[in-house]
Amino acid sequence: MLETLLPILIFAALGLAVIGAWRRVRLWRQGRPSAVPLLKGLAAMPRRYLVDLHHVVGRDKVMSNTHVATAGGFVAAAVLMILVHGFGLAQGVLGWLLLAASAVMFVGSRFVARRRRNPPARLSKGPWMRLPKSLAAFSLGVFLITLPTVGLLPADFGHWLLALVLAAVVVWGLGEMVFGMTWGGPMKHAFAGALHLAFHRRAERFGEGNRSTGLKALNLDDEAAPLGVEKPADFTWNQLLGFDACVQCGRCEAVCPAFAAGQPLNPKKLIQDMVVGLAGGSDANYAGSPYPGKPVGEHVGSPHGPIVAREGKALVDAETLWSCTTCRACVEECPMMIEHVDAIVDMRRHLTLERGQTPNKGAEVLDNLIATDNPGGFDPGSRLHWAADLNLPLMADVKQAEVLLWLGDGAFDMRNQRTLRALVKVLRAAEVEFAVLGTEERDSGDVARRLGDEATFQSLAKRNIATLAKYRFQRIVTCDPHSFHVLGNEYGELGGPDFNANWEVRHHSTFIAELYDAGRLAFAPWKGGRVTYHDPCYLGRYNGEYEAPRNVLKALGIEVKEMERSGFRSRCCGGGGGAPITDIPGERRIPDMRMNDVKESGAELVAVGCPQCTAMLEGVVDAAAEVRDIAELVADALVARAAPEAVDASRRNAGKTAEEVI
Amino acid sequence: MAFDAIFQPIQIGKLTIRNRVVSTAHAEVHATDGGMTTARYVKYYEEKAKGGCGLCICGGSSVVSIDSPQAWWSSVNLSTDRIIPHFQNLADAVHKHGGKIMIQITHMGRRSRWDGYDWSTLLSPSGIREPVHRSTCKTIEEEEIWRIIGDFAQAARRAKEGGLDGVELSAVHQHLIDQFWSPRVNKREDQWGGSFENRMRFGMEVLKAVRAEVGDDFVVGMRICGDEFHPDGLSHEDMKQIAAYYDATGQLDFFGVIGSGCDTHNTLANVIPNMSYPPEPFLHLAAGIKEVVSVPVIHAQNIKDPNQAQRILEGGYVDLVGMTRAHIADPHIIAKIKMGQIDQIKQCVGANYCIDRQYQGLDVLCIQNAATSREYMGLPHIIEKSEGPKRKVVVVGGGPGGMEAARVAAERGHDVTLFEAAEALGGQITIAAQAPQRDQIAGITRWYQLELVRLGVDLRLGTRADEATLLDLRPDIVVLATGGQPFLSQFPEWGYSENPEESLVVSTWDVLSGKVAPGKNVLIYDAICEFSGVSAADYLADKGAKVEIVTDDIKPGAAVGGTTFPTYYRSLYEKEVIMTSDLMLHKVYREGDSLVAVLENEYTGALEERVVDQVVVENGVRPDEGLYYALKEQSRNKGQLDLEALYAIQPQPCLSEAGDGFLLFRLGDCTAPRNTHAAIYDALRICKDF
Repeated sequence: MLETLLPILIFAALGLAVIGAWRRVRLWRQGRPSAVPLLKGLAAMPRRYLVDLHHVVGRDKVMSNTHVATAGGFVAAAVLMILVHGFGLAQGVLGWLLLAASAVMFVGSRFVARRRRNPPARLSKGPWMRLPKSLAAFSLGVFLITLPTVGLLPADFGHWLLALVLAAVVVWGLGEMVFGMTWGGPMKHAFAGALHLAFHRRAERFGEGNRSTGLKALNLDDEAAPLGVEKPADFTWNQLLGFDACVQCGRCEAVCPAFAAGQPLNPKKLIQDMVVGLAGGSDANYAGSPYPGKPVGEHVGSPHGPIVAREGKALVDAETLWSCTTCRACVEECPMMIEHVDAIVDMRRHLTLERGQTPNKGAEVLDNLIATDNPGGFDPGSRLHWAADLNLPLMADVKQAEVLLWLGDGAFDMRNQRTLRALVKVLRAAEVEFAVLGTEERDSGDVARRLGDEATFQSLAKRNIATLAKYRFQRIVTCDPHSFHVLGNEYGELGGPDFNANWEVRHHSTFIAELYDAGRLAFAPWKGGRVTYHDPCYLGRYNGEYEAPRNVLKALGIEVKEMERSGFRSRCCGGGGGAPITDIPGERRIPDMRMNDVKESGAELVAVGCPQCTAMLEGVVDAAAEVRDIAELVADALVARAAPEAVDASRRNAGKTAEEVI
Repeated sequence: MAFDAIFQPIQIGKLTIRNRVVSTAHAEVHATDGGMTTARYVKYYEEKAKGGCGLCICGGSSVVSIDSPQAWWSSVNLSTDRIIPHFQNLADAVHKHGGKIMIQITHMGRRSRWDGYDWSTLLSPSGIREPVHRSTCKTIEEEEIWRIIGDFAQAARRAKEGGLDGVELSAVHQHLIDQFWSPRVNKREDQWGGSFENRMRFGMEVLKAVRAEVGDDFVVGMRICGDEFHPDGLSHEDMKQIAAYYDATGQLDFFGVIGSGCDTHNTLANVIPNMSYPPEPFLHLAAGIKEVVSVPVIHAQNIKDPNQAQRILEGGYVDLVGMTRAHIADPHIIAKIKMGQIDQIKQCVGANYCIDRQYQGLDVLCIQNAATSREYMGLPHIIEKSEGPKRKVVVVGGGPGGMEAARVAAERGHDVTLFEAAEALGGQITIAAQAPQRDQIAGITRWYQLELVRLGVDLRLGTRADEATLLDLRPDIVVLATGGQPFLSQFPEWGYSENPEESLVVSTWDVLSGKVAPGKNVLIYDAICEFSGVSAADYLADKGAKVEIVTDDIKPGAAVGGTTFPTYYRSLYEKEVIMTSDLMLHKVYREGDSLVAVLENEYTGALEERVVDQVVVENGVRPDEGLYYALKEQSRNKGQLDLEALYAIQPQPCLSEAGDGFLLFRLGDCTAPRNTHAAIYDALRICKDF
């Protein structure tokens, strides 16, 4: 009986799956066009899956092995099942292979079940709770029905009743695994995920050592294109596809600083809301952690309805979008390679450019940028005031230099001016030939862009690009990772092919490490206390620079006491993405949490490499540790290279002396 | 940005100054070796530059000629080329830290002393005596005028060759240039006096000669007063006319403006306003000058606080603010503003210890910062953490000496406990601050309070430490700064008793602290003549008492400095306090409800009586030595200091000697009654090596 029933069931499930897939594809295609090479993408998919994706999944070994067993077992079992039971090709080794595949999958399913026994808060519940049972049903069902096929059991084993039970189990398994895959069940992730990998909007992020973190430019000259994303259908189709790939594992939620601070953002929920939006409906069925302070079930959306309501509620509230610090911790952790930050900035672009609804100080900062080319609204002529006594060479005078020292807007900030002065001291100690743009420098546009004001970003960027083109230099060095990122990763799209053909951008920690390696700097031994290092998001996750700052600290004689969350898992200071400007309230402050991380490391000093991080961490009340930029630590430790014995006692001391602070 | 107005660079002539804060010219009394800017001088200014000061104008009243004596106030001598290499050291030290440095140059004319050194004959336009220095002088002759004009030019050349950034011509404080300006002093009828142009001529010739000598790429400024405050002197309108006249030459790069002339004791007190003055009392005069000139205007006088400086600069009243005493109190004030450490700034309280020493020809020191002017000796403004063992340090007494000891020990990284019997820190400062016009002295305590809390010192207020409590803490070091008590028991005839019911006399502390209610008819006997007697008189008169203050010294308040006794006198005379000198307190006895004070004339022995209802005696402090002698024998060092090490600013040898038990040091009035600075200095030099 089963021999008759099985092919019918299998092909019925496959047929329904094809219909479901077609319906799903239609949903994705509501999005705007995006030129991705389809065939090339499909060809690259297996490698992206097996290498890039598993590199992320592999950070959790148990889960990685579980997934290999379950998914690998399933894919093999499904193919073999179609051959063996669908087409009746039971001869030879195929049946045995099917037995083995389903057995492996069954083992995997047990690990999935174990994970679901006391699931962490980040995992979505709901339909996902039945998945281990469905996996077990499928694998067990397939295993059992294959036993007679390979002759381990007699063909007429058991009663018809048993056959019926078996058939039911197989139907359950097929329903979840095949039909459910395209009709919105948990297994959707496999279908959408595979295609998402193939048609990913950042193909350049795949491959060993590659990363793609710069925001993509809006074409402001295209009058037909929307300014950002107002409704789900304003996303490109492959962005919508990407949302659909979400497996609701909640790794993003677990690392999101805004979520941890109790601000109304949960990256997983946001992606799921986009899924609700692309299909239409309410978020009532969402079975994970809500946005802090926002109950589930009160928001509805549709592909062509606004995501953020002009009045009342729609799919997502604006403050959810403005809570993001753009720290990329979610993107870094996402095993499905979803680009949360792109989506958030796309939606912010609409709010800022079309509606003028940048909250709190946002509008003021953007007005300042438009009027004065800096976010603080300072007199642009005062950018070099901090260096009035340093006689810095100006590019306008010297026209060329080995290094262009990019100041960033920290030039207007008294705290960062100390870092800049320390950096100048270091450059001079190493006899680096450098110059500054002085009042020709403008804000890099980082904040404008991340607040959604693409027009102001492009205006600033184009003028900076034109200024840079006037001079000759080999390197830009900056102590601001945001400038570093924007100059290095985001100007290229606007600056034309030869824009940065003749120079590279370096974060000051990288440059100092190079100077030290070249023997151009010498340091007195470290005499301070325990030190930890805070990775700035825009240096670490955005640009992959984790080593150089640590190498500099090591050269200073400092043994870094790492925080639990460091390197690519570093916790954001809360200062990125304009978050301190939009200032969405939460239950805690992100920098307080980060300073607590510092405290737990036992460090008395936290070394940083970013003006934003410095400002945020120093803003923590009753902090247990001192905050100092790497440049300051280096400047303090400088000794003459030739005659180390000539160093006077005050220089050797690691304490703050007035000479360094002003 | 907070304080952005302060941190705006400015051009003076062709020079860029990194911010708007100036340490204006003042006499440091630090130039040694015949007026050379030697190590102490250089380090004093280097510290300010290191701390971020934009411009230092050094050398108040630095002389250009040999007949303007420099030795009285150890001022800088620009009358010889010998100064040039010394200037190079000075310039390098300041430039190294990004600061700029200029020097004030002058001829003092009649405003000096003649009775010493070269026995110079002083000069002035019309030979009129100067009262503050009791200086007589001759009428200057034409030849001397031209010689001195040439001396100015040569002095400016020496400043330029020494690498300084500019010179400030002093036409203020009644120096020779403004002696010519002022019709009060200039009665000449030749081309150097009479008409406006004639009175201006000397200064104009000086300016022309200087500019011709140094050229256009060297800053030349002029310091003037905004109003002499004498009916027969130069008014504000006169000064505006003068400033505009000189400005019109286009040869001056800046003006410095000071309110008030200073050739009487009373006007002198205006020039360096003490704590009785409001903030920036003469800013309006500088602003008036700024209205009529085309170059930057600097103004100093009671600008001590960054918010005040920001407000003045933001308002555009002047272009640069002088924060000179502010820098004496804390040469790192600018760095602290930049570091956002406003609460850590040691703010000048206007005690004028610095300037009052200067007028006596003593080196300028700060009442509350013992490191100032002692940088060359190695006394630190920033106390570095010790690399030695962490020690348990117990300080007894929360007066200035005890607070400084606790601060320094805590900065060194030690575990510090401070006992203070009173409910608040401050010791005698708290009492001193009760007098009218003297409340700001409590700023000294305020800073220590903030610092001790910041440094985590265990403050046990309202707790009198005894031997057992101290030793329970198992201290490594005990510092006693327990002060003392008013010394009323010296003469039994005064009728002092420890029982307040029986005592016929009370102390100024009793009065100022409110322990004893003010009488209605009070005799104050002041054998000390420092602040406490006149403070008590001012306090009692303020409360409505009829007060007579009697001293056996030459006058009440005789030991109060030259910029402060005038402000007391203004207040005491206004309140009709009677000031009597030359009488000793012979005896006090009770008669009915009244007290009779018998006074004896020191010179005739004649007795006279006063019938009053309260007799207040100020006879100094008797050290409180009880705890010291209780601990002395148990301590490792028997409470002794190695004086050679102490005076050489070296660590006390006992600190590095091994042994059981604790080290004992005492300082301040519990050793011998001295003053606030003495207590703080001892605390710093002893504790800096803990």
